[in-house]
Amino acid sequence: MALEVKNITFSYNGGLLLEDASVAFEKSQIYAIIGPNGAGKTTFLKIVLSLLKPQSGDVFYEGKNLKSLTYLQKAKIFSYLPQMPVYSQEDKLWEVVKRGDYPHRRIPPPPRSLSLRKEIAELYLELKNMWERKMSTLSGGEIQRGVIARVVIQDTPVMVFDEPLNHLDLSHRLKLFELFQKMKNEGKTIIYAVHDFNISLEYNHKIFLIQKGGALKQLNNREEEVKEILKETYGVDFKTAKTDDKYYYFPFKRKE
Amino acid sequence: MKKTLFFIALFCVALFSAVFLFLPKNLDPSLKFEFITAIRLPEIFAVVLAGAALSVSGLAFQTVLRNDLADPYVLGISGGSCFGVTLSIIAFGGTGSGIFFRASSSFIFGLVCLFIIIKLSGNSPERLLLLGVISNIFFSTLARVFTLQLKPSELTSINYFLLGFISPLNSNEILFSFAAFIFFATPLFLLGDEIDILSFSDDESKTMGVNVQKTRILSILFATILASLIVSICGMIGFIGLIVPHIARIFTANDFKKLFLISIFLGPSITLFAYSFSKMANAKIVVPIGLYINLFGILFFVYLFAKKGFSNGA
Repeated sequence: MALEVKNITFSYNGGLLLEDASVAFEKSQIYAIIGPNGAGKTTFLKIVLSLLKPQSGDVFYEGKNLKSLTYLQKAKIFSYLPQMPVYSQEDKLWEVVKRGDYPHRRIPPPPRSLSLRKEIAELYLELKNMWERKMSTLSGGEIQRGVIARVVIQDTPVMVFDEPLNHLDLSHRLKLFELFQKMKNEGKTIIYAVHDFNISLEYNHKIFLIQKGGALKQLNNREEEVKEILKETYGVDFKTAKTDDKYYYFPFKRKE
Repeated sequence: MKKTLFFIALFCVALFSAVFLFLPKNLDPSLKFEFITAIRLPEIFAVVLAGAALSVSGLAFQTVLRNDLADPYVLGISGGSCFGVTLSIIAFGGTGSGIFFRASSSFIFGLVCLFIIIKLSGNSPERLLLLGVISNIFFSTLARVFTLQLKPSELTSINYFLLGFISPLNSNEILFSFAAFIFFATPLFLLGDEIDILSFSDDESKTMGVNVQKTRILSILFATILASLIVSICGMIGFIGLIVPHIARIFTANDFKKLFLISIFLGPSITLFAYSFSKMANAKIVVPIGLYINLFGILFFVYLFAKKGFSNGA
């Protein structure tokens, strides 16, 4: 068990976002977190990263309580892409991305050579010829790939992404998932929040659903059961499509 | 590295011109050496220190507060520090009971000012600057009000101080201020990598291994100490902390340590040229250096403003 989230309860402004939630994340696995707006996906990720303190409960990495670790020690375990990344518009892309190496310069050894990490990011995120460009000259999708590269450079055993598919075109979404697959094969744990989870199903990622009011449940891809849960969660109907023995789900509005 | 060497060379040229050029015309050649060591060098020391300390202080404020217009003057530290120095001069007369007391009083009032301004501004860059300007005017006016009870002779010295007058430093004061500069500028430089990471959001910085709160507080503290040290020696000098980091950014990447090294040589070069200029105008009398630096600074500022404005408009 790489990462264990135990009995987390978190409420914000009187609203309960998580109630006694427990999850165990394993090595070499990819986890997608889905749920409606405001249900607490980001909150959940921030609790996993110990950026937010829950009212009760703890997070353990390989048996160690995260509370006992310093920022620098945690930075050797976790890397994080927030939903709305902040960076200096005036910086060049490589200046931003290179800073992901900071914890490894402070506590050696680095996971693998910086040039190798740069190559991986360049290959999967298609950043060739973009390193020297100023952030202010990049498009939304290019910026998103760039900031994902910063997480790739940090290269930690647990990687957390909050809506990494934002701004990415369809082919870059697939390439990002190929990158996830590579990281998974290397033994890493990937956790990400997402809205359109059909590609997640395609890649056999484990899917957790956070519902309003604090429930956290795992979704197994059984058609009727999932349709029922999705309808209950999102308040709309879902159509299904089946290819290669797998179901995919599409919301639609019923005509009255 | 090459770029840093260029700025070291520039600094040497500026230093040479400040030391040897523009000596009084009718100076007895046999007194030349004495004149330079006894009168010029202490002044030049203060000029160099002011340029270096204000530049790196401005660089730190601009980076940490993510505000391109921040510097010790604009943030109102200079005004608060100035008030602190005035109080110590009024309380103890003359040089305000020595440089240590003067610098401490300067630092405490500068820090209080900065703290109030940052609290009131609530993270809005525009409010921060506006409050800084208000605070500067308020405290320098308050300093003047306090000086009303003084004798005319003392009044002149305070007026000169408020204009940015370089007071002749004795060897103890030179030693003290140089030691203080090294003692606080070095850790500021060493915080460079952490300060760079603060360009991300707090959450990102934390997950990248940086103690955000600690880095921010320490760097602001060091930058404030450096700025208030200069105020206690030279009075209010504006713009240097604002323009030097901007010029440095033209030459190198957005990397705090690189910018720091360039700023620490570029800042004194500019103040030394301003000093030479003031001596060119009149080598005999002691001119408030702050006046010339402000004049230089405003010209640079207008140039940068015009340049940025044009490039954005294109």
